[in-house]
Amino acid sequence: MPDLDPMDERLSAASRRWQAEQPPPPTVPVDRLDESLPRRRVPWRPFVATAAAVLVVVGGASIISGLGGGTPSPTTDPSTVATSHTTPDRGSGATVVPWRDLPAGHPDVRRGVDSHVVTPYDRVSATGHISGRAHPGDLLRFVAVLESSTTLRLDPCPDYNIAFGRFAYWTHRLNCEAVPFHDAQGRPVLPAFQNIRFEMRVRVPDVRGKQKVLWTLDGPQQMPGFYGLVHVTAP
Amino acid sequence: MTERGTPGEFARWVEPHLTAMTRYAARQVAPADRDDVVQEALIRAWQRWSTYDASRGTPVAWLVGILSDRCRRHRTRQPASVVELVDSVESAVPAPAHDLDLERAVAGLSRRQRLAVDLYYFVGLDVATTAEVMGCAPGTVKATLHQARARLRNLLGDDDA
Repeated sequence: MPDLDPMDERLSAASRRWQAEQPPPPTVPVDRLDESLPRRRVPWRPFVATAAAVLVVVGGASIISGLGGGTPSPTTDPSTVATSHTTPDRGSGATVVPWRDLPAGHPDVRRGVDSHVVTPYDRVSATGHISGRAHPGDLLRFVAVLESSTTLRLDPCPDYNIAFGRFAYWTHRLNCEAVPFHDAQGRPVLPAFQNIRFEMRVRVPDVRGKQKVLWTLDGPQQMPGFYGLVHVTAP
Repeated sequence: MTERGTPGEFARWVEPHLTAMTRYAARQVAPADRDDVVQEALIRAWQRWSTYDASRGTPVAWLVGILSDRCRRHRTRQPASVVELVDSVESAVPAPAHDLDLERAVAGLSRRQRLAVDLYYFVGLDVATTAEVMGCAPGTVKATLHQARARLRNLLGDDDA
């Protein structure tokens, strides 16, 4: 009979959660293997320094900065962004549910069961990758992937939270109307063991330095989510 | 320079161990620096690939050993202000799903105990590979993990559990 150690279980559970939220590993720099290692830090992302415009893509996050033309000004609300698109899923080819600026619905989904509060979203996991460099006013785009071990009806549609650094915090509603899965009644669902990828957009606030960007699904006691660091520099 | 193979072969050799390397780096340096340090370690590993001796250890232990050195070098050349900034950012918005008490307690372990916990639990290595990386016997790893868990129970006030 094995001697079960509660601390072993706690460490195992914590490490599994930590592992699940880690961004994918970097690629092997095959074309740079013969470079000599510098004494100081290697500028691994030299393109970032020159990316005063266009697009910076690191992992799953992208930042649109001043392009002129249809590009939003730093004070423009994200809802007025002119760059509408449907981002293809780079892995599976599935489409990403496009972002829409929807106000939070604050659906009351909590109920008590045996003195515990439960919600329909308790078995949902959320993953995504956020990283890169940006200026205040840039538009940060990334993808939030939701998956559930049970089929989940997205009616009412859940809200999500985005915290950018210490002080910026927003709550919006997911764009459930554009979800590709529906039940017999035509309501949007998240099928068991399938995932739905939601495009996310958030305006970079007027802050500087490395900022933690946290995405969480609103509702459950233990809100599923993920986070990454965005380095915000002066324009 | 390298007699063992081409860069492509090296990439295929390293590929199965990238996850472990990345997890280890994530435990050792700030998240924003993780990929830089891993890639530095990969370049170093490529330069020393011809010295790898399978009879002396597994590839993952050899790679994590090189990575550990790069992490140490990386930490020593970071300005203190950057470290403080990253720490403050991380503590500013804690992820609700995290066991923050446990994370803080792990940070309070001795260096050796924390290394064992990081390698065994968070990186996901088995005891034998953890022992290879730490340069000790598997039994020593088990004892260190046992002591670390006891210390964590003490730090978290779970002695009665």
